[in-house]
Amino acid sequence: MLEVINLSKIFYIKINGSKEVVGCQDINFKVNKGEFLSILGPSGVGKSTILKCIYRTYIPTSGDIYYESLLFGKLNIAKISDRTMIALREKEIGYVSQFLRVIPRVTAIDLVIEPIMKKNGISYKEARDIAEELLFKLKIPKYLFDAYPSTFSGGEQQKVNIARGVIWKPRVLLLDEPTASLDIESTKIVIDLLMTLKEEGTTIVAIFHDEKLASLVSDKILRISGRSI
Amino acid sequence: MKGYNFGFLDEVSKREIRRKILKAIAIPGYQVPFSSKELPIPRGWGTGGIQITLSIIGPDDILKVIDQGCDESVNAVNIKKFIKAVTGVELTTDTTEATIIQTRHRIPEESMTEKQILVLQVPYPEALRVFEPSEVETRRMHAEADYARMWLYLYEDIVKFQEISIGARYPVLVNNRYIMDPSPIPRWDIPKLNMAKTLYLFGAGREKRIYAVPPYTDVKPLEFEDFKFRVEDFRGKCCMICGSSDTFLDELIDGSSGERIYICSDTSYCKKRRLVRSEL
Amino acid sequence: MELFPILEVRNLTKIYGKPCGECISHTGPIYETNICSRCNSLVACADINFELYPGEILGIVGESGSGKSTVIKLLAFDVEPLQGEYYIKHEKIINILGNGQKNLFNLTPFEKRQIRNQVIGIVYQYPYLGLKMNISAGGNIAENLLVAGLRNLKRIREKVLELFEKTELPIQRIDEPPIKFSGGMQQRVQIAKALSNNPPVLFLDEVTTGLDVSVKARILDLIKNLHHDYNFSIIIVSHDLSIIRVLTHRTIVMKLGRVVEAGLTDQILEDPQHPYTQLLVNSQL
Repeated sequence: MLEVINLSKIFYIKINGSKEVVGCQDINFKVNKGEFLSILGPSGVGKSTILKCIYRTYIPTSGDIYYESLLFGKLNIAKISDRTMIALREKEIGYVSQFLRVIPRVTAIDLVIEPIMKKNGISYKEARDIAEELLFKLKIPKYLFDAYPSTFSGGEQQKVNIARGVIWKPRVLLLDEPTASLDIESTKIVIDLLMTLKEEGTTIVAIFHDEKLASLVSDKILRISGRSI
Repeated sequence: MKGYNFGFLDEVSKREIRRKILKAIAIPGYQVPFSSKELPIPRGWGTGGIQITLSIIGPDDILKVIDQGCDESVNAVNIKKFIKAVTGVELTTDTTEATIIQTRHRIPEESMTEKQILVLQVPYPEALRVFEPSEVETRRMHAEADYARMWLYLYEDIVKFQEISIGARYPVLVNNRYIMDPSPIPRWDIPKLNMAKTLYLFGAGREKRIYAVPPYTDVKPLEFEDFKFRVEDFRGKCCMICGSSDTFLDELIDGSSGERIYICSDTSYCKKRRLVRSEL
Repeated sequence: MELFPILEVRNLTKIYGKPCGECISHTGPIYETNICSRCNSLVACADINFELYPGEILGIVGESGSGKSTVIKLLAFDVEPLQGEYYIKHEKIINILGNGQKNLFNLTPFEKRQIRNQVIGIVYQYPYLGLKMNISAGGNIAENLLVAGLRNLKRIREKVLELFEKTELPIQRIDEPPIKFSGGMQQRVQIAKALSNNPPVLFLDEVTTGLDVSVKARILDLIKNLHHDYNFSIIIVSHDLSIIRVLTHRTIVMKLGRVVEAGLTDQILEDPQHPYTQLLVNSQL
């Protein structure tokens, strides 16, 4: 489904002279359809960089990211056009960042609804029902549904973010520390959600901090140690 | 008159004006610039109309000159006298008898024929000037038939006054192409322009423009589908001299009684009808 | 996914002044100027290429003088390019021009005006560029309908009211001139006017610049909602990266009349390649 070969990302910073910063180096892994891969490793080792390269927020410096797309067949994400990547983001590949990016004047429920309104073309009412059920499962109090997430706690924001990521059931879901700011109970709920998604066929690549949790949920674990320059 | 060419203007000038007239006829509603010669009359006093008349008139023509429908007003009489002096043509007040009628602010009530020409004096030839001061811009609008702002002007008028406030100079679309200022004739006369048998020539001496509505040309007043053009309403009123209730009436205040009275604007037609009535 | 762009721009160049023929090779980010050293012409933009896909929101960023607004002015036919090709694929274009691809820069003024009226909606930074400040707000919107040939007052009125509601303008002020409106409301009138003939393409030139933060947020919100409802394609020009981040799918970065970088918006903001973009991204508060 997804195969990363010799992936490296180096940032060339050209302000005030040139600097090179290594994001990640020589990353190799393979995930089959419906598998759950966890990425583990100390902070600053480039775990997020890998996910962002797959999502093409970062342009890989070298290496290949092969992905078997439903729309286009097998392709190399490192080389495809922006338009193809937009299509993949809209139809196949989801990404849940570490922190919720709040959009002004958009309520929690609308944030969660947005992906299915756009992608599945259903009515607002239907979408809202689905979104409410999901937020309910995540134990977000009902009075917060129509509030702006900028006032939420870190944990609540993270839950909204995850709800936004899972609601449209992408083929591949990339998660960057989805449980970092959650308590034990919330973590369990999120893990349950992810497992349900996995059973429905979603391939998951997630970054975890907690080794125990990772070994509990994943089929494969990728450990990244230090990086060389 | 001795020492002057027939028709006062020299032949070269007349030829230029005739050519401009031909161009104006060829492009109905389009304003053709012309050189506008000096006359022994100040510009703004009908010099556009006079130059057209002098350029097209021949010794056998019969001329009628009216001002706001009246044959006897000072202006009409002066112009008549001048043209008579420089051409020697016969004069008349009868609309049906005349071959050329020069007029200001009115079209005669009696219907005219293919053999006649009506020459209108025009103070402001540009219909779009009411909202656009720039000549460059109005010319561009005409060239590109970009008339949305004229329509917008009418829309705003209706929104503000629940009525199109333009009385005289009501804009018309000629031959489905050019918006034209019909000169300050009342709305009453606008329908007479459409599919008329007579050639209408418009001359603006001060503004140096000639334009034309050839016979049998489509001339439509601008109107909305659900807000139609209307002529002046004289229902329940009639001319106190000839009793007419189907002509354009001037409103006057009776000096002694202070009452409103109405009389025909077209004086020669009024006189004719009175004669017919007295014969009956 | 729509595979074919709705709008394509090729080799678009605009030079103010009398170009000497070498202007383009003597200006641009490398020379750190957009004034030709040989003939003093101003190269407002040069060799601009991009495409816009159906339903897409494309951002153009850059600081003042980068040529981003010039691009929009060219595409709206407000100014004429020195050279370039410009294509829009849409059924409305076929209605106006017939079949076959035509470079829109070569059209007659009459055709251009029809396209401007039917196919392109534009909202300017300064309301007075898009509106007649002394004519009623309703009249300003009605003008586009009148250009389109609508001659039924009742229907014009209904349509204007509908647009007023859509853009959250107070209906009771429909017959007031925009000069009496606040800046945010003036922009709404412009947006309503731009939408009046349901154009498939919308150009937004610095629409929130100079507005209060809360007013700006509401305008952005309105644009987002309208985009969702109408699904038109938008080009949004801004120097404000937060607007670009919230609204756009892809972004073009311009400097001194040239495109220095183009890419997915999150990639431009998080992994900028060009030194200028890196500086721009790092200058944000």
